[in-house]
Amino acid sequence: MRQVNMTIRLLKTACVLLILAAAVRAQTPVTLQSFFQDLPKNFATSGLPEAADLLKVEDQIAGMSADDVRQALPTVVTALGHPDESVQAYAASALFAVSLRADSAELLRPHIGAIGGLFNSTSDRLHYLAALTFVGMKPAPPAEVVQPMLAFLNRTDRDPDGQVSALAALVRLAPENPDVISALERFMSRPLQPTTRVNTLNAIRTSRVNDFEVRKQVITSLDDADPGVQFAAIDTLTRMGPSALAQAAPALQELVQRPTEAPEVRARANKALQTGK
Amino acid sequence: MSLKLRWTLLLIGVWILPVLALAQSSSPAPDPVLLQAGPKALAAATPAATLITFSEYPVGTGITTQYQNVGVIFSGSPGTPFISLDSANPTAPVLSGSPQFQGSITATFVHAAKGGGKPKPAEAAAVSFDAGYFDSLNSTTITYFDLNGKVIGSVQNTALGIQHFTAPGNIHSFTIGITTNEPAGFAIDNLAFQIVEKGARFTVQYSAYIPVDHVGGPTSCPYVIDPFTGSPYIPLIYMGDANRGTYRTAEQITVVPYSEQSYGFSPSTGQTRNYDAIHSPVNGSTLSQADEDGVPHDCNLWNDAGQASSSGFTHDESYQSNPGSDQAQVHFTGSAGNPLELISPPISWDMRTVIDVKNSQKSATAYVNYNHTCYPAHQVKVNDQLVYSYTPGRNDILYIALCLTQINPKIVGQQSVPTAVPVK
Repeated sequence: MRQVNMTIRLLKTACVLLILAAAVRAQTPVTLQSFFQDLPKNFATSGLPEAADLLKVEDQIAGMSADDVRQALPTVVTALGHPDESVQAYAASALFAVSLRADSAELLRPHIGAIGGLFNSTSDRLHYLAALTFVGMKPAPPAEVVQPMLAFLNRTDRDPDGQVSALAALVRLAPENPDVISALERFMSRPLQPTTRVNTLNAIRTSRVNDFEVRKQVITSLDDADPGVQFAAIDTLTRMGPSALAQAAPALQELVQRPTEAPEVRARANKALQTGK
Repeated sequence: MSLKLRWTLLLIGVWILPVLALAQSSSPAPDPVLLQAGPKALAAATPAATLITFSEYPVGTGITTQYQNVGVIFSGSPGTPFISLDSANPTAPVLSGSPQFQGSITATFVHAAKGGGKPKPAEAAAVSFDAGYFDSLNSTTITYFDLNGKVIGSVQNTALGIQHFTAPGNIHSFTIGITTNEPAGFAIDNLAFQIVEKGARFTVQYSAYIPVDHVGGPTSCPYVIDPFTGSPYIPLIYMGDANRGTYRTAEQITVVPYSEQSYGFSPSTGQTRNYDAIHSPVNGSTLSQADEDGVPHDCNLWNDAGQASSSGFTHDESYQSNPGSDQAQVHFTGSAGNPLELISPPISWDMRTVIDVKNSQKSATAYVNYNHTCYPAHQVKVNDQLVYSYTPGRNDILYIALCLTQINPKIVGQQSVPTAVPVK
């Protein structure tokens, strides 16, 4: 009887301890580090955590000390190597959140190789997140970010539309880098869908690229069958300035005088010619 | 019920309804201020006239219901009319009766039954066509009928060669046949008409818009190095749509469920404008004229403008008729990226609006089956009545990035309670 009472008492104590442990655990805030430490295990047992939980963790990043972020980053980077794409995307988004910090270049620099590895994936959103993270590094991205994106842009076994994010990042970060310019020229020489070509031209337009050979590629796009491509080419030349417009003047003149062109395209070309005078 | 619509409703019922309650409860209630900030209505178009030249099918094709989808079916006596060459007609191929150039031809106007059901009788306005080649005067008679089958006019050819005929007002059908001696016979060509609309019209407008004055962008201004701070990082902000009546993307179409018609599809995008976040907004809260310095690409105040392409925006419509009820489903899809931030993924949507017209076209309701990125705001209006409205919970860079990369999942579901919409 005494033994039974003893057992009951022990069981009660164990229950109380378990409840206390659970309560303490519930009150412990989930940190960046603990979230990503637990992510593989949680994913295996109960699937991907809610995006809202991820957002709660990422919202903390802006206010964390640099040391805390630095300490947490290896667990985040480890999650980039998880076989599931959605787990990788969670980790990639956390790195993007880190890139929004004023000290992000210093924090992320040791992990450029791992972030660049996302370009080996076939997932477009991982490419977007990697490119956004690189471009967002502050006060300025280190030169090492160029290489992984360049390697990705040079691949011909990937969907060109998915490569535009890296292209756009490259022309923003390194508009005068000869390797970037060569890769850009090669990319523009590929057969591209009109949407991809428009996006490529817009990426050039929203950069400081003003290379003579690139201009030639842009001028070639003036003769594209798609008016959207023609518009984008005209706008890109206009942004490039008077010397680009002078180089393009014969092609623009031809466009203005070609009766088969859409009136809007002819009007835009004419406006560009006037701007260049 | 059309097969396509029936399957859609079944799938929605089985798979999407469980998600619906969650999605709806998590959507903020419509904000009157934001609703006012939504895009302004685009002008509604009117149905276009139709011209049939009988070049649409190969020579020799028997013609009955091939043109039903544009509003006319053909029959003849004694045989079925067919497309024929005609050396006497400069606009051949033509539509000949059977036997060739001898048989009579009847054209009957219908409301196109795109849902696959039986076409409904229609009236056509501005009906005209060419007939001939006539070798005899008054040899061939054209008789026009109204919807009740009553003769409303009858004429004979008054010229030799090819003669142009115009119907006396709105008609439901006409028959043309040889009534005296026309040795080489006749054929018709260049049939023009406009189906008279019957039934209520509904203009469905989808739009996506940024529900605040401006939002932060994810990248630095690319054009210059900030001379003031020496830093290359100049954050940018993007103009939003709140209280401006503008939008990021929009699609619009008008449907007539009774006659299974649709017209006036209009895809569009709004202008994208960015400003340097160090100096703008000048007044400290909202972008205003003070931010518009007119100098592009200088990373100071207004910096750049661009417009996304709407070339990938799609639409399709389906219809079904039941006793006392005509239903139309408008399906819009599309995606569009920020033309000034090519590093960012696009917004996307796949929206189905179902309109149900009852009580002899006197009342109507609509509901939306929605699937869109969780940023920006999305809305659907039918005849200017707001039927669906989603407003994102936040407008900061992190939230936007999670939505556009779909890490924060798309908003998917179907409205369980239809909204009454105005009948026009």
